[in-house]
Amino acid sequence: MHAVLAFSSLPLFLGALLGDWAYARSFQVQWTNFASWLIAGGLVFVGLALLWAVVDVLRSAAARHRRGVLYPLLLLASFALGFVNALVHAKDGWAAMPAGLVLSAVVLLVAAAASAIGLAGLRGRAA
Amino acid sequence: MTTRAAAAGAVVAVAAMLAIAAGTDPSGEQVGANPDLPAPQRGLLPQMGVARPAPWGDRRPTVPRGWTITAIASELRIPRQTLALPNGDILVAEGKGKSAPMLTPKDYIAGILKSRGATSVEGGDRLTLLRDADGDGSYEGRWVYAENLNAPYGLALVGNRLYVANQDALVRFDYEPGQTRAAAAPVTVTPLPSAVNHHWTKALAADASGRFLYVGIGSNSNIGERGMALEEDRAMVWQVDADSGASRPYATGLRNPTALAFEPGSGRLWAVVNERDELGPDLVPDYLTSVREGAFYGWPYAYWGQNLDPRVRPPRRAEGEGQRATGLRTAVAFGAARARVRKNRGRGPVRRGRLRRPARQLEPQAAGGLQGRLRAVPQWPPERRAGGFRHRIPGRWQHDGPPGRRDGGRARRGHRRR
Repeated sequence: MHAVLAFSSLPLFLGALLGDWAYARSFQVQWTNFASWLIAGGLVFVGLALLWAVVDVLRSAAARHRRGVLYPLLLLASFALGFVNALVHAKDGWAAMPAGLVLSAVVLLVAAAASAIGLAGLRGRAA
Repeated sequence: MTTRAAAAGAVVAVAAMLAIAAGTDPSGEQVGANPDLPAPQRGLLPQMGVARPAPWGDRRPTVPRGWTITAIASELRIPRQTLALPNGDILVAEGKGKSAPMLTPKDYIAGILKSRGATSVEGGDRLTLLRDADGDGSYEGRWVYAENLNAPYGLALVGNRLYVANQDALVRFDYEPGQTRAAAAPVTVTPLPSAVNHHWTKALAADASGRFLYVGIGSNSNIGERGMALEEDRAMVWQVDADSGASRPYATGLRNPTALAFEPGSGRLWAVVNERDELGPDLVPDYLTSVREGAFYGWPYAYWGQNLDPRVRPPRRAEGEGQRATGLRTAVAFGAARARVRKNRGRGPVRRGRLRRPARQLEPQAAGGLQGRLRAVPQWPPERRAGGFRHRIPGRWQHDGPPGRRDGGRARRGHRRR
């Protein structure tokens, strides 16, 4: 379930990046509207995964198998950057560019890294 | 859970915006014919303040010495425009347009913020008639002149024809002096652009002859961020033939012309225009301008003459030599975002003495450098160029000649679909 939450944000952030790219290519504002909603959706899932991860860290703090804090930190970073990206996308028209496109790419990378590290952690624990 | 998280996010964003919004009132220094415009600025959050509605109580607007101010009617349902009738009666248009549908998460949050500054009263969709029969200054008579209108705003009386600009149509009543209620349902003169209707107020003025009506049609967005397809027929002043209802763009690039009036004597048309947002607290000043036939005033590509707005992509293409992306500048600034609710502290152009200054005196300074530019007056691309009625023009027009460019209609039709 935790993995589902963490990974759900990826296609949304990817969609946002593609939407930004399409807007930058075509100037069709509908693409940037799509991107805005996809970022908002991605933030919801990253936020939930972050919540879960923080609870996990707190619960496992006392336990022997301490998982790294890298995963929740990366989730936090992707949430923060994603929030900034949402604010950038709230600017009208081309004012969101090119910062929006760059941020969308960075957010996707950070979220992907978080998911990958998180998945490794989960598998490690399962093994 | 998802909804709650979204709501929590919205609350955080709202709190952040309110924190930022504090202390960012416009300085009010951008007034006059040559305002000192600061550079555009926009941080992560737009700098905006939402004025909270408050009852008047015992307070009154400040008026010039020798004047007094009294409320003549209350409990109206969003009164927006008034019209003094020849017999001294006053008509009040009451109503509120529908709000544009939500397009982005920003619209959702902005809607919450803006609703804090809006009244909870429902628009009346009616005209109220006020009468001071005994001339003592107290308007004791009050009737609903007409109801079931659609967000009426602009009003004009020509002879016995009372024109009302609803948010979606220009309609006409037959008015008799002394009447307290319209005798019949209104006749539609012409439909007006009403898709989305972000800026819904349709300002109205009639020229001295009463032959033409002029309708102000606001844009559907701040700077075209809903797509320029939605701005077809928007951000312009229409000229409407009162008899046939035929219409054509008279002047374009006016973001939201909320008031139109003819100057007695010169016959010049003037407009008050709401300019764009989110370029900082002191940009862009709203303005008062004379409206020239066929002129392009810049929106959305440029503001206050030559200042390009970088948020609009693609930029306007100059389609021929001498065409520019920038607009005609012949204006007096009111300061940013205040045309409708501006407090007149007597230093702005609305000061009585200055407003009454003949337009001829105002022009050379206001138009600064216009003379040379006028020949190269920027126009919409041909398909949007003012001129040429969109509807079939009655045959007699060929003899009378419409007041504008006569080949405009062909140019427009020819390029309608590219």
